[in-house]
Amino acid sequence: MNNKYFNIYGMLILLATAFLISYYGYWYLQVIPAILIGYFMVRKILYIILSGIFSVIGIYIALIPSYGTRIKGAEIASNIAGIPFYLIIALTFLIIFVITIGGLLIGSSIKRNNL
Amino acid sequence: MKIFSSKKRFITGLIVIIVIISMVSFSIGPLPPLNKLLNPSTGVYSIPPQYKTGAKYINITYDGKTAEVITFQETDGFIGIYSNHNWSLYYEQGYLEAKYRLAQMVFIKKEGQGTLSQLVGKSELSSDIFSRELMDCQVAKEEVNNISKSSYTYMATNSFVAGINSYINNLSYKNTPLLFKLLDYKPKDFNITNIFAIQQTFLWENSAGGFDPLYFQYALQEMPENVIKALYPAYPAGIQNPIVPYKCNPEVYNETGDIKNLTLYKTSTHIPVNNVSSIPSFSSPTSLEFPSSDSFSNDWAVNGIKTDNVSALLANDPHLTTSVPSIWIGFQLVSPGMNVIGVVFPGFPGIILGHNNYLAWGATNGQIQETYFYAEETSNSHPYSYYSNGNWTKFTVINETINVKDSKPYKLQMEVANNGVVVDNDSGTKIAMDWTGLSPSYELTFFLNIDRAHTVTQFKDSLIQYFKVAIQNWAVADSKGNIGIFPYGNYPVIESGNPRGVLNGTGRSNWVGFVPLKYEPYLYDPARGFVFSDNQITISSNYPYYIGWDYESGYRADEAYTLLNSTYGFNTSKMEKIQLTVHDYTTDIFLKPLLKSIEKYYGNTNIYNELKSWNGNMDINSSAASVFYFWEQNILNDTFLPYLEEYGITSNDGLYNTAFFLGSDSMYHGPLIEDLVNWTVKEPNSSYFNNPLNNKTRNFNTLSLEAFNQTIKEFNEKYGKISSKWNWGNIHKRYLSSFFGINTLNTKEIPAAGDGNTINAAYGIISNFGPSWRLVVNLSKPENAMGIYPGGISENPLSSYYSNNFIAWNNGVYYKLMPDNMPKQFYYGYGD
Repeated sequence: MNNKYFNIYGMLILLATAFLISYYGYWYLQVIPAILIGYFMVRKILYIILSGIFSVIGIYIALIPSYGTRIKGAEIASNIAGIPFYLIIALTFLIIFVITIGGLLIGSSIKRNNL
Repeated sequence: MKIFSSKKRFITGLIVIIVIISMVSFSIGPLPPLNKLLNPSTGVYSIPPQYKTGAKYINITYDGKTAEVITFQETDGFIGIYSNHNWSLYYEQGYLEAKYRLAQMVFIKKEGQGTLSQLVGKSELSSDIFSRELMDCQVAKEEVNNISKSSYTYMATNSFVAGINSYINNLSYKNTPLLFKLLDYKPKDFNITNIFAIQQTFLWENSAGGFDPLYFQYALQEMPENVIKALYPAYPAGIQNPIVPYKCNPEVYNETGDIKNLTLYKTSTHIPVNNVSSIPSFSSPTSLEFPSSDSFSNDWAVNGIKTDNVSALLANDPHLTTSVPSIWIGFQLVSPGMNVIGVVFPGFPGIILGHNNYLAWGATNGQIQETYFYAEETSNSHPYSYYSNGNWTKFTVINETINVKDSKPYKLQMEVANNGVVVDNDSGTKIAMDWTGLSPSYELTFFLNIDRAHTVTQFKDSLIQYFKVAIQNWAVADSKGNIGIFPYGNYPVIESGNPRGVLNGTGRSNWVGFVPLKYEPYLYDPARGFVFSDNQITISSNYPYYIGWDYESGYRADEAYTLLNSTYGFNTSKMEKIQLTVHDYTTDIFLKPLLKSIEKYYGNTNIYNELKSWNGNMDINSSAASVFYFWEQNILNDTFLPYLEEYGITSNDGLYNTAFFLGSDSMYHGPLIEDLVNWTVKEPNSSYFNNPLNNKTRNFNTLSLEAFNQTIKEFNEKYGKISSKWNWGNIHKRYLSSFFGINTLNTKEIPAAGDGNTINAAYGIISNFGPSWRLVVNLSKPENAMGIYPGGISENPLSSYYSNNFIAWNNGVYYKLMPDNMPKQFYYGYGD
């Protein structure tokens, strides 16, 4: 199979796992599919970064149901905490981005022909 | 064998994972662990559980017992609970109060315990210090020890607490209140002592008097006696309609009393002038929006000639902070022998204000002085002691530790004398506060009893036995057509001194007891056919006991008296109409003299004509209302500020902070507006209108014109020429303020009618204080009772039921408290 399509499929899988895992509240477990995808499918740095972005999109999709209420909750939290609203959103996306990147780096660093 | 195609990549990936997981798993500064807080499913983005209206049938099992429960959730902030057992009824009430108001209950509990700063930090330390000084927990423990485990009170509170804890123990992070997520706080179980500590908190918040004597002490020391008599008479000046006038019940006046022995215009003690200004500095503002001891309200009941002898009706609207979540939560509670509906404070079982199928009741703050302050005599040669009744006596010392979030624990040493607890202050003088709530009392038992009472007499008997502190004017009506008003409780009696200020602490002014019950004021089925209270003076001027002096102005009461006296054939609609009245009685007094004073200069202007044709209603479309309001504020300031300046009253001493020093409530509370009315009506050329700073001769006319000029100038500068911008609704708004003191959680402001002197009260310019609950009941058909409270059932700002009743309430809408579509069990006892 063409490597390029492998990477795209990998990114889409990570988008889906990010959505599902976050929707059910276990977002930090995104590291596990990221390691697996990094081992089997996504190994180049460019695609690793793009995969991180796809994970962010997956989180965003998870927020779509009742989007207004969810964003309002974040807004209220930011006002109470005294931190800018965009920082709450940015930190949320940054966390999933970094977890995905980290998992992909670990997975892609393991030699495939050892298994 | 090489495992890694790139060791560097592996290490980088591992470090990244470890760092990010570490960072988000632990608190960073004020922020809690981000992995939980920002979790897209369970963190700040989580959706509140859906509030489903209608009936739900469940079985509850607790402590080996099972019961059936039906709940009926409505959109108007009320939940009906039916059960075939009493224990399960209170269990479910506890569960639901926790479900919809957990954060509010925890904060109230912590206020009572004096542990708020443990949760939120140093900002609440002074509140905690004061709660400890009130000994809420110690008194609560004593109360719990005194109640029998076989008593109804014990059963109800024990079950209630079990219900709360059932909710807490099954609480997921997703449904944890947002505030707790931000504070990284997991709520702890409640116990019965907590409920009694909550009782103590509410008793303090509803006890009148507060710290007034500390502020007033300065006036007593610095102002000459003739000025005190003129500005601060011990009996309110102006036009007063007491709650229990002499002519309606002369028997309670037939006693020697204590007032003849008191020196109400002189100071009893002298506190060094240098230090006097710092006396009030300890007062403990919590940021929580509690109902305050300056809370004002209306209640009245009619019968006999007012209802064509058909029935009795009752109306009540307690004026408290209109917060969100509301200080009230609404329930209908149905169990064997009981069907009661009304409102209760979160953290309490039962119903506090409301009605059952036989009886309706309401309350207004009695404004009876329940705090007395004593300057203790101390000496370096008698350390840790105070002089009392001829002896040096050691203070009882209580050591407390207050844990403060993100700070080291605060060590508090409290000293208790035989006339009260020494309150933390910077004056250098040990000042003890005696409060009727420093001894155990059982107001909770009172509420649980009256929920099941059938007659005014049964209500009164329970009141006498159990309700001692935070004296209220209880208006009551029953289905047999009886009405009454009972400001019962512990009224302290002293034999000498001036309780309006700080008393001498050596023993001669200590409490010698309380006013005997037979002389406590009350009315029962008066011939005139109505009882009423609007926080005005309780008694006529010849009442033999001192019971306080700092009341509401009396003008809301005058309006109520006028309407009740002139109305007959009362029905629910007429009661509602009175409750929603926005006519300001002070316009009946001031409007004509005002017009006369400005006619020469403003006679041909639009605003003059508006005022002349105005009916005195504080309507949102009235520009006359706006001008009158600010004119009244200006004339009050212009008349009395020179006196306060002359005698050195500063902000440290309470200037603009308390009604008798031109506080924000001085237009409708306290003596100054009463003096202004009194002088305007009886002595428009009184020498007390003169300016004491420069002895300039003034009278009502000169002050009125000056105040009017100021007002017009302010309006022109702020709003331009007279237009709709001058309308009262453009200036005067209502909003619901966050119970937690978090401005971002307030509702928006909306135009509102009324002011502090109207029955439908809206105090201040941007008002978050007014009728926190409205109830109207016709006891011939109590199932048709009408009511509403602003806000909603839920404390969650994301819920559709957070503030859903606000606009309807502002617009004067009432809801039928027992809708027609409930399961039949909720009509138990009706139609019997």
